[in-house]
Amino acid sequence: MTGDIATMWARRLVPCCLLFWQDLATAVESPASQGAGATLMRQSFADQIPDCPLRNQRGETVRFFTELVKGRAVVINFFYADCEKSCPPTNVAIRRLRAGLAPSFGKSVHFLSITLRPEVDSVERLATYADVNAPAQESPDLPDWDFLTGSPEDILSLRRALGMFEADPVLDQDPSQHGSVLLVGNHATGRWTKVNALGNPERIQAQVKRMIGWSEAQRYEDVRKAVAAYRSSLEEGNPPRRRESGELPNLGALVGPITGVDAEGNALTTVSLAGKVVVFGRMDTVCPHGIQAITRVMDRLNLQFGHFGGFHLVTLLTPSLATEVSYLNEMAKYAGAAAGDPWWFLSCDPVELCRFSERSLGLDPSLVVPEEERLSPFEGEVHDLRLVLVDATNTVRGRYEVFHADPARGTAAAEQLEADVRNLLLQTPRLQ
Amino acid sequence: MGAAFHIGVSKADDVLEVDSQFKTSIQNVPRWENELPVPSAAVPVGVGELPPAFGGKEVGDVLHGTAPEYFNQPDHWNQFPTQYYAVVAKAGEGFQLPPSMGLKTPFWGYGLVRPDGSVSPAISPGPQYRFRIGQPAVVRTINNLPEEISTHMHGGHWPSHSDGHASFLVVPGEARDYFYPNVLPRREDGTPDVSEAPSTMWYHDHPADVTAAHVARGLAGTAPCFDDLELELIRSGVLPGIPGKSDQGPAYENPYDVYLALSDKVYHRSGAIWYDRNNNNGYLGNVETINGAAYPRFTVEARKYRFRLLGASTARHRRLRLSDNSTFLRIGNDAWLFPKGQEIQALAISPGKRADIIIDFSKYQPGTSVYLENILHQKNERGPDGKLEDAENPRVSGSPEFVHQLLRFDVVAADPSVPNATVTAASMLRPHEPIHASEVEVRRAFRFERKQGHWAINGKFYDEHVANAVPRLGSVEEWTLQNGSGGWWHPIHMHLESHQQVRNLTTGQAPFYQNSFKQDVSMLGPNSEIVIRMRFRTFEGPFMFHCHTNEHEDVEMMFQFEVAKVASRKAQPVQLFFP
Repeated sequence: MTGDIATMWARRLVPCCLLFWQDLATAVESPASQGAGATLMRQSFADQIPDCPLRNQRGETVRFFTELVKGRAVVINFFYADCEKSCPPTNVAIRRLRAGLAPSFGKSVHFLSITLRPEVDSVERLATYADVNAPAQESPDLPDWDFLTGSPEDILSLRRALGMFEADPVLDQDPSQHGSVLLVGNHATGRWTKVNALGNPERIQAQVKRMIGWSEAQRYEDVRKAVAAYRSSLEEGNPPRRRESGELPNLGALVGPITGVDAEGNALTTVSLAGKVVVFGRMDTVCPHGIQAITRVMDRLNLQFGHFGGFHLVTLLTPSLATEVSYLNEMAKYAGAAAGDPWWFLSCDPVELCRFSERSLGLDPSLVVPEEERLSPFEGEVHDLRLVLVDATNTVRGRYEVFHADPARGTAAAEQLEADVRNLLLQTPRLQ
Repeated sequence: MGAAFHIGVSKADDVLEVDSQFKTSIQNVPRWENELPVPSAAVPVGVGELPPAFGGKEVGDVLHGTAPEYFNQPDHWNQFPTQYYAVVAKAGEGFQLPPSMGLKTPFWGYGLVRPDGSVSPAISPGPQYRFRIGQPAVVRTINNLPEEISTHMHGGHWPSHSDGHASFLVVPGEARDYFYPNVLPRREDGTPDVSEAPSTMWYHDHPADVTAAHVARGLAGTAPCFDDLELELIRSGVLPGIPGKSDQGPAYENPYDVYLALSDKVYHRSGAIWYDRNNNNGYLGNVETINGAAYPRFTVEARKYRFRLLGASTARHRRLRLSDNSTFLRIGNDAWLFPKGQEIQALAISPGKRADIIIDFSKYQPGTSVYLENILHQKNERGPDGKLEDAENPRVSGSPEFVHQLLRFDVVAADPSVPNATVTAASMLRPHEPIHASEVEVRRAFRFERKQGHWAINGKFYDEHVANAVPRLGSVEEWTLQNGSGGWWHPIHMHLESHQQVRNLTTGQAPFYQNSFKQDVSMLGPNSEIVIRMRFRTFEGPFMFHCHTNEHEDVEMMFQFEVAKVASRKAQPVQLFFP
């Protein structure tokens, strides 16, 4: 209840009077740091930020320092509209961060994405880009997200002042080097840091709150929550293990293994995965959206947990599509799996595959679409594309519809899967 | 000033040049006006039983609690009664620049709680804890700053909860009871490993993302530790000290044993410390301070002194020598004394490192002045000029020649009632127990590199949820540390225990004498690769290892290893967590 009132207050106050917030933040600090020298100690970084004019996706001209940074909490990143490498996942992270910060920050934090290619990214292109990433119909309570362009010289000087450049000119010319760094700061409190958007989302959110929070309550909300959980585990007499709650359902054991060949043509069997947390996915579809959704989620899992000892990914392909080993290779490359990653691309006998996916994984059988209902000649069958989570004891613990007609539900399923994998890994005994 | 005769030229006008300078910073600071501040001993608020200054709150009865080990102490941990300290991290103000400039500097430091419950003003460097092996200590650390802190006692062997882990914080207005058991790790046969007793520790702030700014603002202090062996060396007159006094706790008062904490700063013309929180490459100052005073002088008797040099900068490397290029005796690296000292003319010291040295001033006439000078030029954050292999080269290099004087020693006659210390390069100090290849259970490799505008290890960034290595409790591991970031210098710091360098894979050579025993920070020069061995004993839980260029650790060049009953060759989720 109190939390709700605080949030309501935050939302009402912040848009109307940022200056008030600045005073509040200073008041919190005042016993510790009085005097002009202390203020300088706090704010010296901002003295270097250029006040250059930039244009946002609505075509408005804004001064960078005085109108966007001074007295505000900001999350700044550099992007370009054509980027297909690090910008899309960074944007996903920003969307997640906006949603995560909204309850306690309201609009008192401002997201700024500045283009690295001002000569290409015009205001019109920014508007289109903004429509995709921060569509007009999203909740009005989310923090604002502006996309900015300007003169190439100004943007270069901005990058230099913000420390978002490489000393090595060759690296500096490679925009992918910057794609995933978020500069988070609060000019009023003088706290700044850089965060990599591709890291653990839970950590990023706690880190950003800690760095740019206006009050101590806001900054240390997550730390205090963790302390409370730790202390209650002590009182219950449990060892202070970092275990998260939320029991997963037990959906039945795997019936027998599956064997097949991998991208190098080696025979593989899931028997050797015993004792590991495994995520299975089927890729017997030609639907590009389906393939994209599944591989994106699996790639993210690989990124998050691929270096953990007890984790594995298996993508199952039907031989009708994958008659050639080179095809498996292509799929692995497309999915972003590197040579040493714990991610198999398996092709096997279709009968065995059906039996395994239906009886063991519990996926629905594929349905043939009657010819008259097909929207395109490729739409021959409907496949169950859910990802299946199997724990270290070969028990199915969840099926996740990460590819869903409603993208929000797909994203939610993917996030749930990620959290559940983390939980299972915490409970899995460690293997050498 | 008063010195009659200067050995080596006084170069009080040389300027410390750095690439990036704040436009309104102070450029010229008069030298040798400040007296060297000598940190005084921290006085415990109580010994043996819970002190009244703890306000009736039992140990662990504060928000962040205490280490679980506090409640499960084996009998052999309590050779002497527990000492209780209470300290408040808070803002302070004082002269760091010479008082003639009329500028007071606001800083962040530590104020000790007195036994009557009042709090002394903040000082930086903070009060000096003097620990004794066999005597546990509890330090209740109260945070009265507007930002989170985490105190790392650097060089010691501590429980995970109290080690100063980057994510085990003290939030503003709250407290954490740091538990320092001051125990030696035990060998497999159960006997204490005396070779592992630390001498020269220091403490500094270590919270994720903000360590560098906090250390630059002053959150650091010193902490010597004594064990029977070292006290005997003082009592018998081998190491400098007053026999019968300097070997007696709890004060261990010793006018001939002095920490020199070296830290460079940029001062705004108002006197405030200027720090750029978004320069994540390294903070280089143009004004050098020792123990929190710019270019001080120190009056010494014509006798042997022990100096504990400490690289308290966040990014500056130094090579130090005396202005007359005379030899001195190096007796330790980081926290640990050597088996025997080594006569040298110069030594290199990087952020986080310590070097114990003996300077014999009896070779100078009273009235002489001699200078401690830095001869390593470092203009930018990437690293200093010159090569790591030149660590002990006393020759001045560079063009123009770079010599920057930090401290003036003014020699006076020795007090005849105290005999001079007898330590020489032949004196036996602390025994060393090398780790043999046959003991190694697991080998791992870590590459320190730049990635996507961040600092990374093996392409990954710091994540408090991930134990990047899981060594078995009581085991030995061999790690290869590789510097893959073109031209940058990285001092790599391992928490929990000392590590031993085995070989340098780049040069193919065995480590230098000073690196061939124990250290807690190993220098990785540009594009170099070294092999280290380390034991993981006594305490389970996560511990940090990272680059000690504090700016690099803040932008994620930091990993953690979790010591556990079962090892893992790969990363695992963190199991123990003490928020």
